[in-house]
Amino acid sequence: MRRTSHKLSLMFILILLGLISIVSVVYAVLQDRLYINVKTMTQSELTFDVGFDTTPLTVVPSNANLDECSNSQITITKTSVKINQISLPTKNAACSYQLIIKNNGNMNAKISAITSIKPEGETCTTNGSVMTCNHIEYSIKESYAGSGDNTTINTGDIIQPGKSRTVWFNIKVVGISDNSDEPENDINQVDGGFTITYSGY
Amino acid sequence: MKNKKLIYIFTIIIIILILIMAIAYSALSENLKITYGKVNQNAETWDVAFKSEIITPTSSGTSTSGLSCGQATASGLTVNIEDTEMSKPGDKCIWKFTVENKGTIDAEISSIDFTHPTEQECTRTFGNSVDVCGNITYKLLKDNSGSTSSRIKREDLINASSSEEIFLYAEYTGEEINSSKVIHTSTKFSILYSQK
Repeated sequence: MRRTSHKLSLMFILILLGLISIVSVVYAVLQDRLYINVKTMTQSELTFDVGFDTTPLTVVPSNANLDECSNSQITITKTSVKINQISLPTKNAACSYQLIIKNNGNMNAKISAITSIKPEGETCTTNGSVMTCNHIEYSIKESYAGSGDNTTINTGDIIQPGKSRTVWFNIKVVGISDNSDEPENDINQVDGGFTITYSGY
Repeated sequence: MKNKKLIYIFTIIIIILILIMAIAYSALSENLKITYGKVNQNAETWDVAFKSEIITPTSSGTSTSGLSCGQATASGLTVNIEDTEMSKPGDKCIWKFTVENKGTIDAEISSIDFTHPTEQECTRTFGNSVDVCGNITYKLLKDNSGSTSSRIKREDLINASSSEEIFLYAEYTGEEINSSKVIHTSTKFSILYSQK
């Protein structure tokens, strides 16, 4: 009797296991797993290298007799340009220095900020890439002073990879309308210029 | 003796139950007709898979070189995407797949899994349908907008005898500078479809 009961229990367990297996198989059949395989994804080198070429190409004075322009030295780094000392004698006198901004990286470079470097001891007003300090205007423009082209460089401007942009660092006397306004002495200023910051995207 | 009888009865009931289940599910790959009086009921079938096709991805971005989106081959349960390369932020590759439900049972997504590349851990969001691996972001979407609001997600439905499109949207989103190539291998998505 006891043996029969044991046999029966065993039978029930087997039947139950069988049922569970059937349910599992049926459930598994009603599922599909879909695969999306990406063999390789390569990120190429990403380089960011933009700024001024550190040698000015051309110096353009407002008149041929203005030796001051070639005598004055400018300091150029990748991100800044400034004139060490300038002494401009008369109204409309100007010195222009041609510069190259080059993007040697493979990312687009966007000008994110243009910050003025004020000459020592001067009070200045700044508007983007134009700064005026006591009758001397500093600017970074598309063309040299006196060319008639007043296009400035601006934040948001983009230099594409491998491309260059030619700009001019202009320093000129402004705000002197006639001889009576003209200062008795040359206008001297030291270390005026700009810093340009770039961001990549 | 009485016990024995009872056991026979139970055994017979269980056998009948098994037979019923077997009949109900045995024909998942073919149509059977079960006739009961004047009512004909088609047996249900389950068949969810990719539409077999060669997929040419669309690419866009600012790269003049270094952007190459690999062709994809869809067949059965698998899509294989060939070697792909992106070089700059903004570069994109978009693949469009079609998932077909040829069965008679509505199917829904019950899970999305992501296997990160061997070389790099990834940040997983939106239930694995958006994953950021270094400078590359992968998205599984319902359209090619690139918007995470159109991501595929659990419980998305494919009705019986219909199909849905899935877009794998890979974009160079990061700006982390790397002086040499970074290669990701064996990145994988898996999407589990189950009976609704």
